Amino acid sequence: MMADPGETLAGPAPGARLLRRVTGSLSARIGLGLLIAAVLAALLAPLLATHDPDAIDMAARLLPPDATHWAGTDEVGRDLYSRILWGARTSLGIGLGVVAIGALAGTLIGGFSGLMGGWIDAAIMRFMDLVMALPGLVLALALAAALGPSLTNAMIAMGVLGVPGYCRVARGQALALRQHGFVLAAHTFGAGPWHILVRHILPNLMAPMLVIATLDVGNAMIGVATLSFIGLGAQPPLAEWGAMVNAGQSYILSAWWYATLPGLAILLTALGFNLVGDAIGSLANPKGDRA
Amino acid sequence: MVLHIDAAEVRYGTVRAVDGVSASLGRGETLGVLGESGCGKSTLAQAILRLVPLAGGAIRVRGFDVGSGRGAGERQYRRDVQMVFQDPQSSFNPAMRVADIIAEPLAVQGIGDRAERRERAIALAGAVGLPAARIDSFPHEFSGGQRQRIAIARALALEPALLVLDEPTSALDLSVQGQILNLLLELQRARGLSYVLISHNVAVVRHLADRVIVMYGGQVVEEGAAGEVLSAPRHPYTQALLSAVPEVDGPDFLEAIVAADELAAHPSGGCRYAARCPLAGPECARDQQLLALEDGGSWRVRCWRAAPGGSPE
Repeated sequence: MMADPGETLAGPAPGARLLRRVTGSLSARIGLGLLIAAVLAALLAPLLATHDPDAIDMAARLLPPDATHWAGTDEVGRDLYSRILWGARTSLGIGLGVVAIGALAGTLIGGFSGLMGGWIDAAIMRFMDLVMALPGLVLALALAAALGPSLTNAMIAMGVLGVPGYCRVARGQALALRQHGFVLAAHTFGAGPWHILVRHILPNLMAPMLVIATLDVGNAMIGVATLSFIGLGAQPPLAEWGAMVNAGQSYILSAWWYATLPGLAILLTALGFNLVGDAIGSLANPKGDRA
Repeated sequence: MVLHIDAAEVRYGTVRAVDGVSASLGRGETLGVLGESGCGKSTLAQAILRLVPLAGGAIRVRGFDVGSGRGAGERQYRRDVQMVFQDPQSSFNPAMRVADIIAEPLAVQGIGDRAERRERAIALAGAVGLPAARIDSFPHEFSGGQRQRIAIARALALEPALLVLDEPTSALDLSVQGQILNLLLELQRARGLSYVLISHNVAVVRHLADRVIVMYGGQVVEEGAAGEVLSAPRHPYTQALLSAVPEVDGPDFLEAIVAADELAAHPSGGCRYAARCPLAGPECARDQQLLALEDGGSWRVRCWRAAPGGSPE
């Protein structure tokens, strides 16, 4: 049978608590502010940008920030302020996309593995150990290279890399959940594994997985930026923060703003995700203050 | 016969949590299973529901072999027997509303469409005295007694022949306990239900049960008509349970540990209660069978000192 999302969502009370938690502490408010700024930059890029982000102007190469070019220009005279704004779309999209791939696949596989137990669980988890044992970036490189150099493929590679981590957490949670009264009760109605997974395990995995996913968005952005650096991610002239940092580092001594300002954008956005993730995490664990 | 248990055995590692328990139950009857924490009574309940595997013996629910039965009979078995759990709150998925909780067994068994299942859930809520207006609330918004009503409504959804009640009132206030017990009696009369009532509470068992088995260390130590066993117990352990009602009213973890230790220390030989028994003598180092107190009688005791015709005193 199919899951009905309206049936399985938690009530308004947990939602209100979530909102209070996310807006409750100073660090959470800062994090939320940073995220809102990043999202606004992405949404309003066409309005806020002062230049065409891809327009080349060889007469205005590597200019420092001034009244016309608020964040300076790069080695072909493109306006960095405008490129950072447009880059917010790419970089946020990458971060969320990569995490969505890893979290969805990892939660499903891990939830299933923990629920089934026995040799199925052992086989799945040993395979995940195998994936985790390989050096992450090398694996992503191999995957991205095999799929062909494109931003989508870089995102898939990074997403797959994240699956074992989500899988382990989801499996651990599922192992605990399957001993819960409501799962035992479902067995007594004659429920099969699919029903128990969809109705009882997955809805109760949402909160912990959301916390981890939020904390992971920053890493994902940086990971794809790394692939972009060696030509397997964002393809020129697409504005993407990671690619801009990597292009700018050649000029770090003569044009500090080129690598620094997009890097700052990555840092602040990743920080925003981490602060908000921490706040949501302390909701799931109300007794312990997270360091 | 709705339920037939024949020398059922359940093991956790080397410990025999249920060791050679036999009992049977007819339509409309209640079998009380009395004992303290760790005596194996909840494990017996789980074995009836196939939540733990049988290591030996057999359990049959309306003829279906719980230990090894598969196929078409299994589907009917899942409808024939339902359980009411000790802690109703933890037996509900916190993300589900009451209407969906009550209707979940129907959904699992593919009975009716969404609208029909909801109607059934409302009717069941009415049958257990829940206000229909609150059917779309979450279980944590209800009191303990109302939660147990929700659990009972869910257990009735598939129109089972047998309900296994695992400490159905131990999580409730005293005043609410009576209401729930009376509701169970009413439902039994109206629907011809059979109950297996698992409890450490002598008063609860006395209130509901027709027959009773008293368990200690995984074994039945005394069995018979509830009225007889609970008014003039013959086994020293049953006597201790009855004389010490306040002591056994809550979970006594120390005793549970002692009981488990005794199990481990005496996996095969001798009376398992001997270490705690005030009447223990040299003969108690040998195994004793369940012996009828009189020829052909149904009142049976596993005690050297309570031999037929005799009395432990």
